[in-house]
Amino acid sequence: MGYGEMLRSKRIEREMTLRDLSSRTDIDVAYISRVERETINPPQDEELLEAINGALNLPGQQSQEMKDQAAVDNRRFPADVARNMAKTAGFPLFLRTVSNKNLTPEKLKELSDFINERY
Amino acid sequence: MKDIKIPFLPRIEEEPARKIAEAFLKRNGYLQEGANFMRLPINVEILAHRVGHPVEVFDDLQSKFDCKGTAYNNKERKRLEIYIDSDHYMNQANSAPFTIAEELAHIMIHSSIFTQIETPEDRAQLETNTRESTRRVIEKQAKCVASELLLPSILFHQYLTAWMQKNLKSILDDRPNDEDDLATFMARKIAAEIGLSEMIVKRAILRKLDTNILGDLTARFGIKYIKDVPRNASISG
Repeated sequence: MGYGEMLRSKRIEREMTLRDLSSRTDIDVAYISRVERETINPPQDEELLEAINGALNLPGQQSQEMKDQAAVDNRRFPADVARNMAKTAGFPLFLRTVSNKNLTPEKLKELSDFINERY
Repeated sequence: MKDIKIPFLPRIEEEPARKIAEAFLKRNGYLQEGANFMRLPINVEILAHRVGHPVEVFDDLQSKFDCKGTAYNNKERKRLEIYIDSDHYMNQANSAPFTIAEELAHIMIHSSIFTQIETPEDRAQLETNTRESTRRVIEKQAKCVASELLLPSILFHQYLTAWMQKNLKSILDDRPNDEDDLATFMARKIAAEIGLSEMIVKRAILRKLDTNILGDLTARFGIKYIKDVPRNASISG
């Protein structure tokens, strides 16, 4: 599921119309509609992503998932990851290793759980 | 230029429209026993999404195609969607829900016509190349169903009963001349409360159903119209 579909599903769950979301975020309604139907990429601007998450009142983990999905759809690293990459020399090697393994999302989750437990 | 084919249109007026809308709403989890009549109007935008016909907002639909909204066959996604003009949607908040309800009604009762609408030009074609009398029937049928989707009679009756009870004094003070006058007065007040246009609410109040809602309520609350009251008599019930 891409960012647009996730956004729409969370908005409808909250019985929020496009107008409600546009008014609460001050983002153009036609733009939100295009993002939701995935004819354009999600916003890259972290402030916009935060504004949307805030308007939807998303709990921490869901908010992070939305931002991560926006980054994936934009073929970018999430802003916090990108910041850490710049600071940590071994990061590209680690990511390349993981990337070359072509792991499924389940295996990736397993790996991150392992790292969380171990480190 | 595409030729939009219009099939035989069965007769759908107020009462059949009520039944169609009511069955549709019940089938989709609305109007359950104990449904809160104070939560009117039904949020048709959310309803449309839930039944698989998402509402999408577009710029310039009205300025380029003279179209506030249209049901549209998105072949790629294999579903009928509802497209609405962004200006109309954002700036006419009290009538845009009716536009959405009307397009949802078209999908419900005129799907064979609207599966042929694949571009905004097709919709313009439907407007310009269909015989005026046929077009009027199509629009009227959709309006009847739309009104029932937004303000279902079964809940609206309860809403009006509670509203009249609460506002009886102001109704009597207004001294309505006739049924239409009373409906105008009530529509003005209620429209402001529930965020719809006066015209939409008045239409719902005056719906010609098996049960005459307004007649029933005026009798219950003993409201008399000026035209029915003899000179020098008190109008209050």
